[in-house]
Formats: sequence, C-alpha cells, structure tokens
Amino acid sequence: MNERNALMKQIMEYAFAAYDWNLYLNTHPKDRMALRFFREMTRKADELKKVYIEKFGPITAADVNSDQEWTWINEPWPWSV
Amino acid sequence: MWTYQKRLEYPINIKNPNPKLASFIVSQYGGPHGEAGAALRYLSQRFSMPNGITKATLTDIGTEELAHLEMVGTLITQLAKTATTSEIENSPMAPYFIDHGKGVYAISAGGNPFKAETFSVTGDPIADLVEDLAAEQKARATYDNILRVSDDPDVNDVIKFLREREVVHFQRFGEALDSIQNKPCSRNTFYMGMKK
Repeated sequence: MNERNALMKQIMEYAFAAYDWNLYLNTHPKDRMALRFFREMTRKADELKKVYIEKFGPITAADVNSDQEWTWINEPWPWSV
Repeated sequence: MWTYQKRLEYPINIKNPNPKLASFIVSQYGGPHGEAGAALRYLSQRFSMPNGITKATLTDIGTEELAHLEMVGTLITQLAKTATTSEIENSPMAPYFIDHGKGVYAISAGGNPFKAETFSVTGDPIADLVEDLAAEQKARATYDNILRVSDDPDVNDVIKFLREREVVHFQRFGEALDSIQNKPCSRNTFYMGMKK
C-alpha cells in the first residue's frame, strides 16, 4: 500500500470510530467515557486529515489550500483509487 | 462519504399555515422533477464520468440537491405544522394527510410515490449530462408553476432561491458537457451550434 492509501486508511479508522461513538452517544448523551472516546477519535482523525491534505490534496472542497489552482477536481476520486 | 451540517442552505421561516400549498410543494420532494430524483440522478451518474470537472460537478450538485430536499421537507413541515384538521380536510392536502399525516413523504403533487423511472443513468457521459441540462429546466419550470399558485411571500422567497439554483446548475452542467466534447479527439458529438 502506498503512503497516500495507508494514511487514508488510518483516517478512515479514526473517523469511523468517532462516528460510531457519535451514534452511541445519540442514545447515551450523558456517558462521559464515551464522550471522551469520541473526542479522542475525532482529534486523531483531524490531525491525520491535516497531514493528508498538506501532502495529497483536499478531502472536502473547503480544504483546498492553493491560491493558484482549484485542486478539488483532481484525481483520484474515492471510487477510482 | 458524507457528514451532516445542522443548518439549512437558505433560511426558512413560514408564518402562515397553508396545507394546500404543502400538498403542491411536496412534488419537489418526491415528484418527477423533484430534489430526491435530482440527487439520486447526479450521485449515480458521477461513477461513469470521465474527468475531474464532471466528477466534481455531479458530486457537488448532487450533494446540494440533498440540501434542497431538506429545504423542501422544511417547507412542507412548516406549512402543515399549525394547520387545523378541518383546514386540512377542506384542502387538497386531505388525501395526503390520510396516508402520511403531517409527515414528509416522497410523492408527487398528483399522488404518485417517488420512482427511479423519473431519471436515467446510461453510463454515457454525454447522454447523462444532456439529461441533466433538461432536468434542471424541468425543475425550474416546476418552481415557476409553484410561484404561479403561491401568494405567500415567505414561501416565494425560498422557492425563488431554489429556482435560481436550477439556473446556476444548468450553466455548470453546460460547462461540464463542454469539458468532455470540445476535445480534438472527441467523437459522437452532436450539440447545437457546435462546429466539428
């Protein structure tokens, strides 16, 4: 697996973990341990996303950081990696 | 993948109940030119698009159509919310109310539930994008018809926003289409006013 895909796989792991805690917290909004896990997973996903965006390009359109070119349209798209 | 933002694309604050109008506007939720069909059409067609311009355009507009679906659902909810049962009973919303109450269901103004037959995916980028141009005009025409029968300024302000977005999307789809047919190697190009 190349560096790009390996990094994205890590983002997917942390982001999915965060999201699954999100679902759990919807029905257990006062579970402080779950809240801590959610915030930790979200923080890790956000950190890795920053690295990914810097190295490989935007994950959302708002991530585009070039003042030369709109890189949002660049390959690869998720269904063609 | 997607994440949800807890906000509308454009603000909606309807003051007066109007079940008749709700039963008309529901067509832009699940009718033949509605936002559900638009979102599914673009988000499905994008898988067979050939370049970044067309992939991004279909992804982003398909996503915006989901936000429009939410706006149309909000209009229906607010128009029906404070309507009394007798107001509903004596309005064209009555048959809808029997099956769906004040809930939001994907159905046309004429009572036909949403059908995937209202849109197409051919796997051919030119065929799909030309359909998309027509789809935006059909949605624009439907919003025009809603404006003809509505005299509520709060509703019309929102409908005018949605109508204007159809016009913008039409323009962007035209440009996306140009990006795949104005190429030296393009074949099978049949487009009004274009020289080969």
